[in-house]
Amino acid sequence: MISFKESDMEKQVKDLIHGMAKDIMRPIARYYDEHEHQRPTELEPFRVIMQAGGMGAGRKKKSGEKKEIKVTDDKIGANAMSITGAEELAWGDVGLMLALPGSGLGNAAIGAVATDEQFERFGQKYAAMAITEPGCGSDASAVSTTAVPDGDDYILNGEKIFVTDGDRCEVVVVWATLDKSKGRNAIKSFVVEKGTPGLTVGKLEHKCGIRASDTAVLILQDCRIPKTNILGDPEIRPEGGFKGVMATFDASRPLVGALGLGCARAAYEFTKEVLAKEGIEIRYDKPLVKLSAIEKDMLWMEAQLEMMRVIIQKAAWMADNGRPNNLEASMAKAKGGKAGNLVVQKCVELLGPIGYSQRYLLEKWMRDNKVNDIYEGTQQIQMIVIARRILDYGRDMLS
Amino acid sequence: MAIMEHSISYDPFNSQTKAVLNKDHYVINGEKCLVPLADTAEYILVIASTDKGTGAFIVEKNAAGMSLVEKEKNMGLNALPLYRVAFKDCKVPAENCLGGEKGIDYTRLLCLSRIGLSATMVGVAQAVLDYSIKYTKERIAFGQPIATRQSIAFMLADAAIEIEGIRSLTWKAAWTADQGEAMKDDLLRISYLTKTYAAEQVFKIADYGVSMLGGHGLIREHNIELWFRNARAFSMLEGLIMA
Repeated sequence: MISFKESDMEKQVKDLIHGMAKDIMRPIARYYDEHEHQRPTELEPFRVIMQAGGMGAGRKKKSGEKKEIKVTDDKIGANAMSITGAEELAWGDVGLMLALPGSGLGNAAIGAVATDEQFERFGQKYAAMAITEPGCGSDASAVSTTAVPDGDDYILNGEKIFVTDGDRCEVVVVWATLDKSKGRNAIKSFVVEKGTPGLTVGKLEHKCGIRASDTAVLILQDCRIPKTNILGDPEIRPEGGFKGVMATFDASRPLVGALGLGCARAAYEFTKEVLAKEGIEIRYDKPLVKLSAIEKDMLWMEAQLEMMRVIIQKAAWMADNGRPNNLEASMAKAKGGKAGNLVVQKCVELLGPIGYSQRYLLEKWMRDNKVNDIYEGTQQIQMIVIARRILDYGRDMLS
Repeated sequence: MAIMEHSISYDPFNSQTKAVLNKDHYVINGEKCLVPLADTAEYILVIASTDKGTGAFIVEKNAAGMSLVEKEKNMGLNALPLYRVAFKDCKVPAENCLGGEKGIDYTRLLCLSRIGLSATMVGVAQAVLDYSIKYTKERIAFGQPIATRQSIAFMLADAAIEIEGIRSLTWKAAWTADQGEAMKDDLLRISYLTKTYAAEQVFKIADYGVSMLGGHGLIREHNIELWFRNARAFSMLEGLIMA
């Protein structure tokens, strides 16, 4: 069974990151909300931490080593540490968190599947992930960007949208198909370095929230990359190729759940402070008839936060301890995304004009948090994944 | 255990049943409801307010001043005989005060009971989900199992998420209790949140179950209607489960 005991190491990392989130992120959060597309230079101190723990997170073994899955109970591994860190960073600011070099899914993918030689070349670089296209979002298997072998190279053509860190990154992991007629299993990921001829950044999106993070359109036009830049198996195999690509999500989905949790916790704590100034305390020992509506809402939100955290912790704990967690990872993402938004939106509602005013960060958190229920697989996609798992259905039965 | 009282403002921390110490015995006055097995139990543990807080008193069967008022008739929980029990100047020897002169850690007792109740709710919710999964995969409408429809599948998924949540939260609350003194302050908070949230969810999930079975959800051939009635009890229950 999962242990809830916090190790000294976790506690130290949590305190350190919390301090930085509070002292570095919070003071500049409003500025970068108002100055979209401006690069937050104040985040440099985080780079060291990201390189130590974040960039290439999930890299557990050298490639070629025999994969040994050892089922354990009490290992506190990279996944537990990353969700702990992610909650604190998101508590500071979700947008700035996403603007941290190396925080993206690209680095997670490289960490998970790169060969030693590839990891040597790209492991310490700031990597974005380009999946979505104008014609495909949640249906990632409909990717139409092509990769055509040509001598020692691949030539990539296509358009990618909603690329987080697309402008600021140093390399991009691009999903493209080797053969559109072969369907899902022909989809592979390729590392494209910035500055490669044929790769251009199109427009930068203007967004509802997380404005500190850049979201770009990338255009690939006869973009030539060495064959050594393909991640994973270069062959199209009838079985399981696509599953490998999707496996990254088992690590990243709990992490996004943790972002929803961190942001919601920030909103809850702020609301609690404001209420305390009005003399409203939250009590845990009163019957229903003695509670005010606000108190009842606050207790409900606190239960949501606790529940989000245990679900996310369990998904991460399973990953760290050699247990398949595809179902739990989707649950963590679904709950973290949805409940996070319910909490933040409720806080805005409870605080009336204080919730709506831009003098405080609460209204911004409501805007920022919305995306946590969308990217990395929308709420509805998670529900499909979960339902298929518990019903033991394939995509032919439920889509 | 006799803990609850028949009032909308019932507060487990402020029992209206009182126990007053008089030399070598306590005198108990008040009325308890939802007392399980009161007709056959050899002893009833009665929760009552004293001048020092809340205590638990062991009252023997046939004690003078204790009487069964009536058997409760409720919407559910019917497999368990529950009684209203009245105490009128019921004398109990002082040594029957649980924990002796020092009494008991009543808050902890209540927290443990809430954690036990939460685990029970996880079980009920899981039973509903298991049954509903099987049913919706077998039930054909418009040529396909109804589980292949998103409106059904998403209810199942939502139930699965919430069960994962309340189960994990119950573990955490139980773990918190196991830490004893070290996490004493957090125990009340976490067990309260767990119990109230689980109660909300178990009823929601039971309601989903009825909805997914449609008309069959309401007839007695299926256990769903029984679980639906039982699930309603949890939000008001305290203390039925002794951890």
